[in-house]
Amino acid sequence: MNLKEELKKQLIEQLNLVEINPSDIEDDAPLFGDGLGLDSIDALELIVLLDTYYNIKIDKPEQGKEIFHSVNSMADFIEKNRA
Amino acid sequence: MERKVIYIGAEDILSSLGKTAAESYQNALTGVSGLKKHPIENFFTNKPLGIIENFRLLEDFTKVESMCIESARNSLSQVYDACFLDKWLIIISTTKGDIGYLEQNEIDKAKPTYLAQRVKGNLPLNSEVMVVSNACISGLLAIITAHDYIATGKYQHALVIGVDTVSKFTTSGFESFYALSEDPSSPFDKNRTGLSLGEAASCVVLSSKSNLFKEVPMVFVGGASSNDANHISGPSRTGEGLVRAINLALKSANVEQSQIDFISAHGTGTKYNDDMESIAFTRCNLQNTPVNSLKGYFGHTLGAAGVLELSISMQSMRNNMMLKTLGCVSPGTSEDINVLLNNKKAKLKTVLKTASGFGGCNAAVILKNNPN
Amino acid sequence: MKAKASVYITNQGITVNNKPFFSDIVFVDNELPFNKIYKQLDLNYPKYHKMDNLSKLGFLGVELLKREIDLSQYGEDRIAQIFQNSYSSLDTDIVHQKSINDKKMPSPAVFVYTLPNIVMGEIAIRNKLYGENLFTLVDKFSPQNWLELSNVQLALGKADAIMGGWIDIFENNFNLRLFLLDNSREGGLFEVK
Repeated sequence: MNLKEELKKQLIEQLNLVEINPSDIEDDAPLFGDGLGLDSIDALELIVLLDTYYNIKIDKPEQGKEIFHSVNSMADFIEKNRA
Repeated sequence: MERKVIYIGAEDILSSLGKTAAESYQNALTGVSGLKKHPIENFFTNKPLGIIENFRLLEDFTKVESMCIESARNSLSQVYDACFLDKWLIIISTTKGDIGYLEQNEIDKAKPTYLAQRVKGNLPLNSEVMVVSNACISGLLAIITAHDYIATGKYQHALVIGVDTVSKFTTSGFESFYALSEDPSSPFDKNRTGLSLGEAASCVVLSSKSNLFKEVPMVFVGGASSNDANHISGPSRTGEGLVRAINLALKSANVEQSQIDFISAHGTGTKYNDDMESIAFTRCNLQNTPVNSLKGYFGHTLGAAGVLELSISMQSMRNNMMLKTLGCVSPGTSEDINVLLNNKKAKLKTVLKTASGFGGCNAAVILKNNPN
Repeated sequence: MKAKASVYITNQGITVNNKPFFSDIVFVDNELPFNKIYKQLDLNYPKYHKMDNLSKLGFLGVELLKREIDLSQYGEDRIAQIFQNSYSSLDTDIVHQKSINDKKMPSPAVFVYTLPNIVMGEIAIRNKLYGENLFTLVDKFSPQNWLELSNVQLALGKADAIMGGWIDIFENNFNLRLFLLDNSREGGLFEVK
């Protein structure tokens, strides 16, 4: 399965976005801000997602700002760093 | 309703800095910190922690139970025992109680009410017991509740026991928030990077009678809590709940901001909390009032924090000495406040203590020196 | 002292002001009914799905209570929330403990709910309530005890109304007894029990 499609499903599961479908999430749409209504805890949960599904560990949560900008940026980061 | 005068005293502290309130205070006075790094396998973290060392458990009691009973007995030794037969309320303030039982899946013993029964059964008081579990404001809230019950005549005296230990449960949780600092926490410092956890048991006694106390008690003049109604883990960016709690406490104490001599703040050392407090104090016109945080000495002791830090503040009032904010070198928060960087002698008549916690809760308590 | 409104959500079903409510929702053993209640209430509140079970229970109870009582009649900081239970947050604690036991990375979204007072935070956020909060732990619900605690705050003028009661949950057993009390002499119809 396509990484970005997988990622969208994992996002929905990890962040309890029960009322959202993968097709509602655009690849390049900002994840934070108005779109999905994500908050500071969600930002930390995404770090857990990277560890749980891709075995990637993040040292500083500040790195998250760039990595978690959109599904595209997340997929890029995962391709480059997956263990 | 006629306002009874409610006294507070007989403070005790069992912490990484000592086995009595005076000992912890004296060590803090000399700038000693209880925060040290421990082997990572002990507490699942290599970040500094304020651990009580060389503490001998009571036979057949867990560490948490022993801490509560020891501290309570020390506190009660500071009141005349004739009052033990009067109607007492024991309030235990804790966020996780004896959480070690959870590792062994002993759910019934992991309930803080079990801890409460174990402690009450070993104290020489005619009492009822309850537990306040309200995140990091538990300590102040327990003291406020004790005051409220005595003020309305339901009990004559109250013993408040604040306790929490450092456990894998809490260290791993705070690590998931990236909230723990690599170095001992630096409250209000411009380069602060997070909090340090600590453990402690601390007690105070409240009563409508001042003659129960062997040493002159302080007077509890006001206290309040308020919710930010904003976010469950991040503090309100405008300090909404803390502003309300402080103003309500001032109002109920019949005290003006200008009369506050000193503030013992929550000051965890995280970016957000300390910024929020600076904003709240400024909104309350307290930006020039000397303020400190004690978490650089003891770490954040969670359910014990409100009681421990109020007890140290009471020691400060007894000694007319405000302690510096250990760990803070160069203050830097959203609003400029008057952070104490050195110990300072001052006549302390009226003191404000604040606390904030997960769930958007905030509390403020005001004590006055007993004029008699 | 009687409550102006009461909501019970227990394994036996839902009662609002002593009358069965949403009785078409089937309560199945080993399955929590909260999501069904949320759906039936037709709320558009995505934050609900991030809550733990204790918070869902309290949040839904208040949503039902609001159908009987208009909370805005009280000042935004004049409703005190006073809740009690025996299990604290153990229902969620075991989830966090499991991640430690399994040596997995703990979830901050789970950890934040390992404190029983968070339910009051969720209720405060939803309803913009800035008033007093108090969460206490006792072995069993004693209506007299809770009324005393509530009366103390009303008598001292710290609140004009108390919203709270008993809110206990562990695994598949849950028991919410939610009341709204106020200072008014008339209008209190429901026994706190």
